[in-house]
Formats: sequence, structure tokens, C-alpha cells
Amino acid sequence: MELDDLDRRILDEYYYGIPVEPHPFRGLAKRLETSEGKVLRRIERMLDKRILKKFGASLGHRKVGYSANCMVVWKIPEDKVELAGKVMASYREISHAYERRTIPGKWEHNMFCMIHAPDREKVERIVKEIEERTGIHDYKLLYSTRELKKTTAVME
Amino acid sequence: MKEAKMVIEDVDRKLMMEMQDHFPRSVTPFKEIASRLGLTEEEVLERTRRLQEKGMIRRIGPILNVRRVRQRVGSLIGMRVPGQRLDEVAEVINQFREVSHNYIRNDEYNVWFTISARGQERFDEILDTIRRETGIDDILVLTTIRYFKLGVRFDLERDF
Repeated sequence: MELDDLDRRILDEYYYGIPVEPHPFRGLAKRLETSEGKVLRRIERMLDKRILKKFGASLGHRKVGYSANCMVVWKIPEDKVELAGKVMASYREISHAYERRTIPGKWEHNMFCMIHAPDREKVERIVKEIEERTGIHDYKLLYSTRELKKTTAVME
Repeated sequence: MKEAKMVIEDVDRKLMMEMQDHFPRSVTPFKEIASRLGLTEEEVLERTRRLQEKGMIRRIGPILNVRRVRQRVGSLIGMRVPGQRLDEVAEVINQFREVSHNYIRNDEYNVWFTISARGQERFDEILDTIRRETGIDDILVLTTIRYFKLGVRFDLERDF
């Protein structure tokens, strides 16, 4: 789907989110000389077309209690990638699971998953389980120790 | 963090879950949430503002599905940065709106961020600028081959 000017303006204006007030869409509708209903319909359409993953609140994971945030990197033979990906995806605590290109000689880990849990014990329990279910023993745990930036994706 | 659990009231927990998972697309969304949770609109607005101030809610709004946007070129990047240069290097990386996440991690490659740019040219330009302005060349560009799961959803009811 092609986004038009109105869609782009909506995404751009809501980069920092909607205002927390009784009629959060009214201000933007006025600025764009349109109606709240139209703004909402555009949002709905972008959701339908899956231009948007969702419309809603993003939580500050550390602040709400997810203190252990870990990127686990794995070396997984090609014929096991599919299985491992499915196993990883099955955990509620895992938000992302990918296969990525490697850089021979520099970076040989080809699978990545992000685990968010209240503590490191929980992260390690999940990793052990994945290890048992896939038979993959070659991995590293990269905890995030400091957040340098966290925002939302932009349209440019 | 056990303390965090203690300080989040049940109502706030429910409110955050509702706003994460089922935010109403209505002209008066907070009023609708209030009626679902048996609160007043005023109370929902007040609690939401407080949760935002505390950083528990980062933002409420549209979350772009970058893979559905044409010409989008993105990657995870790992970089090896000397400990004493972390802040200065972070500043260089973070100047780009196309960088949405950037974390220090416990590995020899200690700085990990994502770039999602419009077109290969812009992507290369950002990476070149980071190389030039930091003088650091030990950079891993790890593009996705396929993904099995994408999308954060926190379950405050079950995870704690």
C-alpha cells in the first residue's frame, strides 16, 4: 500500500505518541483540517494493511520490572535453524527471534533471540530449556547493561 | 527486580496491559478504557500521565511495521568500542533518527544498535558517517535472513 500525505503526517505527528487528554485526536485533526473520525479511519487502514504493527502503549520494560534483558546469540547448523526458530518463538518472554548473516572469521553466530525477564535466573532457565530442546550448546548471553537509545521506528 | 513489582498497583498493571494490548481506536479512548476497567475517565488520564512520568509507559501511539514500508533497508549492527569512548560514540550513533535502539552489552562487541533507513544509499551514508566520525572500523553489519518472531508484548500478569 502507498502511504499518502495524510498518513505520513499522522505518523510523523505521533512520533512521540498521542497526547493524554480526553480527545487525543482532536488537536491533530484541527491542524490537518480534517476530522477526528478521518484520522482514526486512516490509523485503522494502516493497521489493516499491516503498515502498523499496532496502535497502543509501549512500556518501559526496565521500569515495569524486566530487569534482565538479554540478546542470546547462537551458532546453529542450517538444518536446525527452522526448529530452533520455532522453539524460540514459542516463549512468551522472547520478543524477537532471527536468523542473520554471519561474518566469517569475525562473527559466526547466526541466530539471535531477545529475552525479557524479571531476573537473570529466569533468562538462564529459558536458555537451558532451548539448549535441551534443540541440542545446540554453542551460544553466548549478551545482557544489555545500559540503554543508550530507545525510541520507535520512523518514516523518513 | 522484585521492588518494581511491589510498587506497581494492580490497577496500574491492568491499565498498562489494556493500553498495550487493546487500545481503543475511538475519539475518546481513555473514557472507553475507563468503562472497561470500572474507573472514571479522569482517573485513567491521571494514572496514565503518572505512569508516563515514571517511564513505565514510554508512549501511546502508532508502531510502524518497518518491513512493510517500501525501500526500507535495515540491519542490526555490533561495534567494538573502547570503554572510555562509549558516551562520545553513542552521541555519534544516536544523532540519526534511523537509529531506534542502541544498547551496551557485555561482549567484546559491546555496542549494539539498529539502523532502518530509506534505501541502501541512505543506509550506507549513515554507516559511513559513523565510521568516519568515530574512526572505528570494527563494525558488524548483521542483516536478517529470516525472522521467526517480531514484536514485544509484555505480560505483566504472568511474568511476575
